[in-house]
Amino acid sequence: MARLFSEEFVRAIERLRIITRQTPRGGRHAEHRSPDLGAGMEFRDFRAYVPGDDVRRLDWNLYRRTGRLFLRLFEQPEDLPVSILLDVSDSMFFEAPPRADAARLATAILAAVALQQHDRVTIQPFGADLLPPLSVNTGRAGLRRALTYLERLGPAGPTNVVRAATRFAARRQRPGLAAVVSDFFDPTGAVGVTEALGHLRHRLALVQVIRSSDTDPALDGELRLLDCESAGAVDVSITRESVGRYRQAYAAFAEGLSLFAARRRAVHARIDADRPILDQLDELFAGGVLVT
Amino acid sequence: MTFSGIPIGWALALAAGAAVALVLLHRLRVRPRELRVVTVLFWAHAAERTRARTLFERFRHPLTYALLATICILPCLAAARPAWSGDPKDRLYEVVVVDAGMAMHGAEDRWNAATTAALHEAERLAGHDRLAVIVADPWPRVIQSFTDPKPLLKRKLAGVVPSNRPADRTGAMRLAEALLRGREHGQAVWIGDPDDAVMNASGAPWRGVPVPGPKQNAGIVCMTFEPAAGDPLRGLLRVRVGSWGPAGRDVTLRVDRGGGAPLLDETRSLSPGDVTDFIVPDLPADGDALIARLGPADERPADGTATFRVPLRTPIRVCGGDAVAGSLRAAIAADPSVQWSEDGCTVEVRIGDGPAVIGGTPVSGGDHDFENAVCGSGRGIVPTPETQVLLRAGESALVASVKGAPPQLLISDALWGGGSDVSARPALAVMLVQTLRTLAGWDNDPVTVPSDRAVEDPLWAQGDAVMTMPGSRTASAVGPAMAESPKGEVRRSWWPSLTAALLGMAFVAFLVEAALHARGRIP
Repeated sequence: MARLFSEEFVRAIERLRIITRQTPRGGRHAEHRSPDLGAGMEFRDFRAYVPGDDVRRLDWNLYRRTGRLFLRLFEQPEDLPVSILLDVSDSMFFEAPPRADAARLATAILAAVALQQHDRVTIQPFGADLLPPLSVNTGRAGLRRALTYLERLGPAGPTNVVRAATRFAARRQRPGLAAVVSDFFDPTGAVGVTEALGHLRHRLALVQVIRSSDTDPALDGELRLLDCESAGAVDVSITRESVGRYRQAYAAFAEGLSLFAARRRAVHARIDADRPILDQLDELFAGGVLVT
Repeated sequence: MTFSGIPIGWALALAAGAAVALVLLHRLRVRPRELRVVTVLFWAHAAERTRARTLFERFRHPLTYALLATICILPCLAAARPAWSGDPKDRLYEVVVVDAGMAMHGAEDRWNAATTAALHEAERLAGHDRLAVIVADPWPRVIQSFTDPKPLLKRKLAGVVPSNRPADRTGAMRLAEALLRGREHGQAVWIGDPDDAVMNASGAPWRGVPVPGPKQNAGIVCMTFEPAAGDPLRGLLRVRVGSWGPAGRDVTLRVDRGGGAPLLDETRSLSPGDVTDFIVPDLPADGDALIARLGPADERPADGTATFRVPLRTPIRVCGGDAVAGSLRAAIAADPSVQWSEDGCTVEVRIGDGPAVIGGTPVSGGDHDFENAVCGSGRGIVPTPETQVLLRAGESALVASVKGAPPQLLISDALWGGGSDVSARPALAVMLVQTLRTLAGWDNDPVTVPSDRAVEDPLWAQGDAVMTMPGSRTASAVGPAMAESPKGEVRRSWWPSLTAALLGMAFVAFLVEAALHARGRIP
């Protein structure tokens, strides 16, 4: 854990916040504004007193002026369920440094920020299928558990974002923020991935783990390219034309993700696996805030 | 099945070479370096189009290899022009004679047309027919025998350069007839300027394929030296120039000595079919070479130049003994062509017992085998080959040569006998000078060098005006006939269909290969 999540890393994320435009009802007390009225500090409205109401919330000043009993209503700050779908497929552990490192750091950042805000965090790793998740509620102990959990994750088969998203969406859970941290290299491409993610009822944050070789492959000659996850192979002559077509395909893939994120008003952040994650926090937390 | 295009061995070697080349390509195909990547998702899109165009990709599948081998080998066999052998008794042996003489020299288009016609003759033959080609220039020769592959004919004809001398037509025709001798089905074809009269007189079946000639031409027909009547040591040079074409034209004739001294430079206008004589007067018969050039150059530059050597005539020096009468000596010396000399002589006149002899070994009898006998013009002299009888009769003088001996002048004793006044007659001197001239090989006839070009040039016979060379035959009499020759039987073979079938099969194989590739069955 010391290698991945240093003290410097922990200090850097203390200032970050996650703000949601809409917190779902029914949560427990936390920091996010919600449509529920309750025992918060923020005044929301008045309403007429009806028998049975808590008399401690009566506005006596208003009673003195009007002679009628009104109840002061306050916002009920609630927590935000934060689910982090972490891709731990084989492709995330391929190459050095592995994309999984950057993905786990990003997951840790999201989890830490959420835990600071007393949100419930569920880390749901997936590869070929969903793996056993980790749910932590709050506090340093929870963060420590999360970090330990992340450290122990290893390759879990080929990427299958579609299956993971579909099965995750089938779960009964309170809607919240679902952050998908992945390279999204699903065999179905951007179309299949976005279609599957569209079934999620959560606010979405797509964290795409990339590296420079994705757009500029440093290849040459006659190659038989073997997929690191599957038995797939492609024979290709690396020419200017073939590289151009590769770039076109990759750009279409990236554009597909971006368009989907824009349609869903979701966050779409690209994290470069070759650069320090702390230098890229602005990608995810613009101005220190992740607004979903 | 025969392969008339190229030998079947070549075709099979070509096909085998193609197969070997394909095998080599198959063996030497690029074996890609394996490389694990994070995903092939995007490379699959990139390689989808490029893979089909990669040559070596096509050799990885056995079926692809077989189809490609078929596509390559079938055209090789088609190039050999296969044909069923057919009945050998029906085989035709054709000899094509291509005129490569002066008629084709300098006329590139005409020569190209002749070679094209020869190639056409080769192509029209059936696959099992045999073809031989003779090039008719001054030295007719066979450039393509019956056993040579027909496709090589084009290369062989390309190596032939038309001569600037007339073709030996007779030799070429004899050579063609020799090739056809003993062949049951034979045919000879003359490509150039066929002469129907000559071909009809031949024993072989000839067919003429005329080659169109140039449309505009002016040329030197002949050059003639005409000795002067009184002085055979001098004469005039006559250069006859003819013209043919759609319009009249100006021609300039320049005659130079071989050493470069100009003799004539004159320009005249000629109408189509017209002929004119350029004259160089009072030209000494000094044996010098003359060069005549006609300008400006036209479509047939070959007949624009001619060379001519003037006869060499030096005075005949005559010496005689004391018995020669003074009057006779004076009469002989008066002739400009004879010079009486006491010091040395070209011929010697002896008068004495027996036959008088001028030069050489005396002939003393009648049992000699005379040749080239010319009788002198004396009184009572009868021109007859029985010279010995005449000599005994004492009535004649004879200039003759004996085999293996120099020419001699024989004069009968009767002309010099006692009391004879023949030696005093002027006619004897005239007769002696005439015989001396004859002895020297002179005569009063013009010396003409006919231009062979006039014979070769088909244009001369086309005009209404018949160009006649002085004292000689007419050009039209020896010129080529331009009439359309009867067409020979065209032996259509069916090898094109078999060739087309092979090419079609190759195309079908290509379509199958393309279809299988498009469906993803083969790479």
